[in-house]
Amino acid sequence: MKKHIRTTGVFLIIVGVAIMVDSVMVLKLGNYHNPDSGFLPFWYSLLMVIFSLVLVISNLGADDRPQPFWESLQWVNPLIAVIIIGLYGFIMEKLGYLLATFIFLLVWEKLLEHEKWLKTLVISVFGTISLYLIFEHMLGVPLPAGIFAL
Amino acid sequence: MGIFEGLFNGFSIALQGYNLLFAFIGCLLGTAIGVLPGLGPAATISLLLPVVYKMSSPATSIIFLAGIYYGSMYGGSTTSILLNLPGEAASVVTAIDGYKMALKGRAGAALGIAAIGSFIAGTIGVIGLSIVAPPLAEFALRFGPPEYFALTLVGLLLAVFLSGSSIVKGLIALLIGLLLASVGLDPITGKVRFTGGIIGLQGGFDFVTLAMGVFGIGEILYSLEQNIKGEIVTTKIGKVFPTIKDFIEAKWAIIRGSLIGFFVGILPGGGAVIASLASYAVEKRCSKKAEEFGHGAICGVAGPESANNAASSASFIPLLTLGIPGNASIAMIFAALMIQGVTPGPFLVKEHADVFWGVIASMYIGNLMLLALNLPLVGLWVQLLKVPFGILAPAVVLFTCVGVYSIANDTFNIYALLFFGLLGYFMRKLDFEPGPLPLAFVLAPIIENSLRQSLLMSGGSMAIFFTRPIAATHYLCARQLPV
Repeated sequence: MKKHIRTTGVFLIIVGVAIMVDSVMVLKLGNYHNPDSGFLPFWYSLLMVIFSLVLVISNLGADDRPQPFWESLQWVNPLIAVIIIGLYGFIMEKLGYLLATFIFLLVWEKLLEHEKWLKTLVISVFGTISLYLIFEHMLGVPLPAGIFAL
Repeated sequence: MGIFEGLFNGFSIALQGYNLLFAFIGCLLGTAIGVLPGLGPAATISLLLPVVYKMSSPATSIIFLAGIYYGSMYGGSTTSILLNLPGEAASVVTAIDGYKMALKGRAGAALGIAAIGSFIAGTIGVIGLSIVAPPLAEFALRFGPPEYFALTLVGLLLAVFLSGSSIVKGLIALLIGLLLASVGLDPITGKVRFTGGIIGLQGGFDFVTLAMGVFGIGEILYSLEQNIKGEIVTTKIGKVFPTIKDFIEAKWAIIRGSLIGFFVGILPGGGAVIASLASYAVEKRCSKKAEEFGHGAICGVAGPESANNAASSASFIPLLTLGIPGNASIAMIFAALMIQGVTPGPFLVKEHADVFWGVIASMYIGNLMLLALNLPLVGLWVQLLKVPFGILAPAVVLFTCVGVYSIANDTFNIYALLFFGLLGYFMRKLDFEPGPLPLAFVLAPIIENSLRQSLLMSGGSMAIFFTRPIAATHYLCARQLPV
């Protein structure tokens, strides 16, 4: 764990320094009497850099119980979910809510839950219609019609 | 308006059919998510924030969300006792003795004392809220920008120090929240900050998207990694009413738990988790049968369950009187009030008396509803665990995606949701407590505005934060923190 925390600390230090540079060079700090847009982000990021440094220093040395960040293929399911959600955002307006949601559920159940085809189809159809009724009719949320638009 | 007059008005609002219905749905949902491990009250309230956009009355929406919050405290005990599987963080400590009681065939007594203790504590908490909140709001009217800056800063620090995990990690989470809040147009100078040229970011990140991502999507991604499958363990529940002997044994634990919960709940960052832990420690120390703790002591269930309910009621005090949310769930309710155009703070009691008193009155009613929902229906709640994760997870993801899309009818929010989901996922993986992040995000505008106004007032002198008595008192309180 110590190694992963150190890596996180270094990453946060890099991000913090980048924000500090942007706050000073682009946004400008102003002065205490009249703080400019970069004033608070500068102090926030400076503090973040300091605490990240503390995090790195307090996690120096070898791990008592070294363990990988992901056990074997633990990362696969979250990655598939991230791709499915990203694609859902991409196709939602193009294909419309109904088709996009049906595809979302179909892919999710098949790839992540490894359900049989019949159960996958039932969940996908039932889930798409239930959520459509909740959002469109109960909550009055206008959903994208996509290719079903007249 | 006096307390009794206020409460009378509050009941006239809370007893309206529509409000009663939403208090009931809130309590029902709260119990359900309390039972289901994974989705906590903060995640559920964040998932339902888009629903709040569609509600016409602020009082109704807060009655609904408050019901979810305190309802989850009731539901959390059920799976802790029956399955040694805390459905909610505040019920972790209940599992220690509750599950041991269940193994000894006393599950019914444990569930019964948890529900009765929760009811008594919840009611004591609401009475305390009714008494303490109005004078505190009156006092808070004397606060100027330096006092608000001091209070918000101390509140955020308390949230980090009391969160129980690493203080450094908590402070980093807090600063990430503050930095994320500074993305977009600077409200004072109009300059664009850290948008990277993305037009969708000019208005800044949306709190609902952030909360849904960090709590909802983050939790789902983490659960997917753990490969959770729906499973049910059958435990014989037996009679759900404790005996007179049980009640006599637990009565002081309930009273002590209620008081501890109330005072811990008032503190920013306090909340139900710390209250239950503190109560368990006190009960163990006070008990004449300390050796029974960890082996099925009824006081080990009654105390913490009372404490977490009293704390959930008390945590509304800083929100309704000072406009400062003390924990992540209350931060969601803060956001809901803002969505409804109501600014929480000392003026709330005068300007939106219907919201203030309506919510308080609904808590009295909600506690009664929860007692009725939890004691006789406990078997039904356990059946809820049969809902497979394979159906629950995509439903939650779709609900969040469509929810954030509906905020601005823009798919950009879905990508922002994914970003925050990944942030929440990595925070969980790396053992960062996510609570301070949304709290800091929601309080960032108060910090920035009050700091800039204070510096303007003082002509650039930082002494203004230390020379005014109320602000100085806040810092003195902060000095007592266990650094």
